[in-house]
Amino acid sequence: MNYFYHLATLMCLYLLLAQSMNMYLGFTGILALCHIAFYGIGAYASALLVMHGAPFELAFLAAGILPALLSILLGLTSIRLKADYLGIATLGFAQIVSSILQNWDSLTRGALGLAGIPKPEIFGVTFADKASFFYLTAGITAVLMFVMYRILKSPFGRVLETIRDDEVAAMSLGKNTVAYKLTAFGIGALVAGFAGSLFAHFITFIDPASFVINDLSLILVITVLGGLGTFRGPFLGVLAIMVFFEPLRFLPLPAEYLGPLRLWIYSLLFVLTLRFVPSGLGGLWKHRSRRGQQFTRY
Amino acid sequence: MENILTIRAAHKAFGGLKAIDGCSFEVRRGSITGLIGPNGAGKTTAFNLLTGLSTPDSGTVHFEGKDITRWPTYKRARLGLTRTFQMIRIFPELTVLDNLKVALKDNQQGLHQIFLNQKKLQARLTEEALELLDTVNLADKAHLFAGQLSYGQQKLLEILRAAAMDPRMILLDEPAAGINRTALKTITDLILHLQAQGKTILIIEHDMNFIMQLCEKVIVMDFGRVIAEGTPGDIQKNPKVLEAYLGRTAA
Ligand SMILES: Nc1ncnc2c1ncn2[C@@H]1O[C@H](COP(=O)(O)OP(=O)(O)OP(=O)(O)O)[C@@H](O)[C@H]1O
Ligand SMILES: [Mg+2]
Repeated sequence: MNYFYHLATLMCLYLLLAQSMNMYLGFTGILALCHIAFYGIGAYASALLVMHGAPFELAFLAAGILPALLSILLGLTSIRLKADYLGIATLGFAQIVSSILQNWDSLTRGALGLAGIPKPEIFGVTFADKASFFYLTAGITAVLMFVMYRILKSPFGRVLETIRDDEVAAMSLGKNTVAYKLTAFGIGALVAGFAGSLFAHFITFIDPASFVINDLSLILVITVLGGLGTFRGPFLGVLAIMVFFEPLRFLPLPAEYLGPLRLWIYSLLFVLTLRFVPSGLGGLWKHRSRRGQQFTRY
Repeated sequence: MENILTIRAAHKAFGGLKAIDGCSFEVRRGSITGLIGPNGAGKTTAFNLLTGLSTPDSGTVHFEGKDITRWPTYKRARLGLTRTFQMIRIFPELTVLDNLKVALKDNQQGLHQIFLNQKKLQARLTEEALELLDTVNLADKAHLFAGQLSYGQQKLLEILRAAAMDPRMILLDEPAAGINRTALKTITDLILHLQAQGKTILIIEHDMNFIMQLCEKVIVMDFGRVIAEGTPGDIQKNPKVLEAYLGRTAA
């Protein structure tokens, strides 16, 4: 049973990560590859604050706000770049964050990582066991997913999609596309930071190796496989990954093979999805349902 | 104020190529004006300077009496200056309906408005968008993805989307290019309808019949500057214009 709660908690975190990435990547067309850095900053910020005596509520908020602010600074300098340059600039940012986590020993304890991160305590209630932590995570995930749903399905979200489809046209219609892009990027970073906080207090041990490019690839695979630019995509992506890949854990293979094998399969899946179903699982469904609404045969 | 739009002594070079080289003209409020010239004359580049997609190396752009030379594109659009493109720019993954609704003026698109109950407003905007589509007989395509429309329908949609903003002036970059006869009639009617609403129209077009039929005044560009302007009749007789076109074709 604990294993189930453990898995379900992780699924919530991946759902948050994938949907928040989808917000700017899938809906707005911002090819930024530093989601893992926002996640890591959130995790470290939250863990360090609580370990220095701050209440969890405050640490949790800070874990979202800090990466959001950084994302806006990063965005101000690079969001006007062409997609491929933006990809490189944001990868660079992720690398810098990773190396700061590695090397700022006095704050982050470097490669040793932070151990013994306390379980969250909210209004005197401690979420110590797997079950209660799952309920906490599920509750927060539900709220954040609802807010993201409202954002993406609102006229605001529709403008994000116009920017993805054709930014120049969106500008010509009077949309301040830079402001919209910064907002979408900021919200993505905010939610990733929240997820990072939950992760830190869930696992209770974090180190810089938890937030490297390898882990970005899992989020990317979930988002792309599920369907970029659809709200249901991340749900489908998380389910698909869990159903098909969690069993890998039980393969009678030593850990040193399992890790690379997973990564290898993720990459393959990523490439195959982009090649054969670029709109992902969610995309297939979207087109079918829209076709049902057509007044006429095309 | 007689003139709604003025460009003065504008220059724009790409490397060594002077795409715009001392270009000046103005557009009378409420008019349909043509902007013609051989390929590479700088017409599209002039549109880019007017709408802020690029900024001139020198010279000024005034719209509604304001110096907008260095304004970003979206601010110019909010002041009422919008355009269509030579290479179509619709939103292919949005429905035809949504292509228009995003442009409608009253839409509440702020982040702070996501929790508002917009049911009534959105229903009204849908009505408005459908009415617009009806004027060009595209209402039955409302729920298709815009990318599924034919080329001609996409061109129509793009003009309609500009009109949906309710701007004061629309710049049309080759609206008739690659369009069949029936669609051409629809576009002509749409443009006349927009003028009747008091909007000013500036059209780049190579189709002379189209220009002669619609425009009260024609501006002719070559080598990045204006070489002639006048009524369609005058322009057709102007030796400089003939030379610009024939000279190019002969070479
Ligand atoms: N971004 C750019 N970079 C380099 N050269 C450019 C750029 N934009 C335009 N040019 C050049 O500037 C000149 C004017 O181009 P422009 O597109 O304005 O011509 P045009 O009058 O619209 O022609 P057409 O009728 O073929 O559309 C051309 O020689 C073109 O190659
Ligand atoms: Mg052109």
